[in-house]
Amino acid sequence: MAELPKRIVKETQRLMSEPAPGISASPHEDNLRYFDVMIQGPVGSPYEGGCFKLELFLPDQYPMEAPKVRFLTRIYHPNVDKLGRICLDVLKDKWSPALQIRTVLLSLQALLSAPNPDDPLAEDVAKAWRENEAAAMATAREWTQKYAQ
Amino acid sequence: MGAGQSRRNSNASNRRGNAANGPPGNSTGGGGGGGGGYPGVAQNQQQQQQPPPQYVQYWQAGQQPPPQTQQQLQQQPTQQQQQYQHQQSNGQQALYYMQNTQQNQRYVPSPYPAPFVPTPYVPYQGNVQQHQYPMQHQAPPTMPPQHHHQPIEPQRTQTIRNQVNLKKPSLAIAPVEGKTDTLRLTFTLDATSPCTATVFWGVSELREEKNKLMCPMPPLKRVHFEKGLGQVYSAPENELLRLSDYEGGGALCTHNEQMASYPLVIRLETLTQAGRDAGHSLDELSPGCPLQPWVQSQTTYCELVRTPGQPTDTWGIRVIKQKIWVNEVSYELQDIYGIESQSCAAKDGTSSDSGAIDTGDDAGRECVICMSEPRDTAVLPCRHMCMCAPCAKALREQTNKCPICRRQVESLLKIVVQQSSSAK
Repeated sequence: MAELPKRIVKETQRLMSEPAPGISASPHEDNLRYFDVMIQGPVGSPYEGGCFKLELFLPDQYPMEAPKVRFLTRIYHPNVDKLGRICLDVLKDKWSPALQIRTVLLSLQALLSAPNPDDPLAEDVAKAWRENEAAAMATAREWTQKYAQ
Repeated sequence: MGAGQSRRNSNASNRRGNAANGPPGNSTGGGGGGGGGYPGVAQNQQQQQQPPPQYVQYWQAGQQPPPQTQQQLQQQPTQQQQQYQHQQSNGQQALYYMQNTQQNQRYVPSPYPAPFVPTPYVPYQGNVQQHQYPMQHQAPPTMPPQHHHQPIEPQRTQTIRNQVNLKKPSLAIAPVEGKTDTLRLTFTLDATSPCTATVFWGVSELREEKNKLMCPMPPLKRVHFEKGLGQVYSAPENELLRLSDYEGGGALCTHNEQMASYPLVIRLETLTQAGRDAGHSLDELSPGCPLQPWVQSQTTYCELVRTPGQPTDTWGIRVIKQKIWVNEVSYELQDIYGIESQSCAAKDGTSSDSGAIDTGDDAGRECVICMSEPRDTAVLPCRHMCMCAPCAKALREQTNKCPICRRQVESLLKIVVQQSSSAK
């Protein structure tokens, strides 16, 4: 494997030395481009009290290309599908090389606080969310209890 | 283009439209000869010895375009088309500038966006504006500063060497000892050739008369400065500001852009090479007279800021804008975002490469892409100085969006911040 770009080294150092509140990320020893991520469910959201595991991978083209992120923990969220894939603009067309691992994870934390059923990935969840938000949030809380502990 | 078209379509034609506007690969950065010219963007360089960056970008203030600006228009067509295209573009230019002049004479929708007022990004609306341009040229909307910018009408950019610069942060006004009613103005300036500074209180500017300044009070004297960096102007004893002359000073705290009236205007003037060769002297000119072709000047427009306090109010100065006059063209100076942290880095003599655990401060100086080299390249037209030159080059091969605001990149501008030891 080619030498790790300085940017990735720096980002990793900073993530470890000053982690963002409620977020932790640590690289695999055998692949420094592959991170294990934990995001705590934001207070006030149906994911509160949950601890969500994600994987984050920095492709060769990073930072010209967005990191690839996926939920490993099951989550009931209109913008996350069954496989944990995430619909978030900054991971796709709104990616900018000025963004970082930290900012991406903060965006994900924000996405947990503010689900967006109008731009869904999990169509069934989004439908439930639009039709009966209270019930959907109850389901989300239930899943959080069940899977994200 | 129909406003009713889908977002996707209008986006596509936006891209086409911009491609036709100017060669996307065009970089102003490499151009402009070396040399120790200097810039108006030095406003944040507090240290006196700190020489400002070599290249500066100015935005044309809607007057007669200098010849270089038309070259861009001529680059694309084949030789056969060129002549036609040239005529056509001249025609458009003429229309555009005439329009501006008319507007200026009516009153003042300024032909360029107000400084320091980035506007929010509104998807695709700017496109419509662009296509109407120049027929419905409008004054830019004023919105609270944000990271995102609304696409504004295309502006041509070019690099100019500025000979005189007033350092904005150095502007100060404070009571003279023992008199609460009398204030002394001080500021610091840089000059690469001998210059004069003239201070005007309560003036209006006549833009159609080559920026002549009309001053109801007797004009203040020119103060002469030699060539040099960090020279201090301190108002002479007989030219202090007496608040009683201005009914306590309340009127000095507001300006009127439409009437082009400003509480405080400071004009730095120097001779152009042609002016020196022709034997002109700045003393020929009465203060505030219309700007001459053989003069290069920088004018700073300010208002006072009063902070009520005991026992007396304290006063400060807010810069409204700065303009320079070069070769009979007036340009408005715009800040380059991110240059100040770079200057700090140069000042401290530290490099972001220092190895040790990085502090938060460091993040403001390093290239946002590689996070290791210092930033030295600004993106135009949005003026975000956020990358090192190699990363900027690499970025252009992949995308044409600014990493900070995602606005279309028209060109890159490399800014050289010299260390003081190498200053001339």
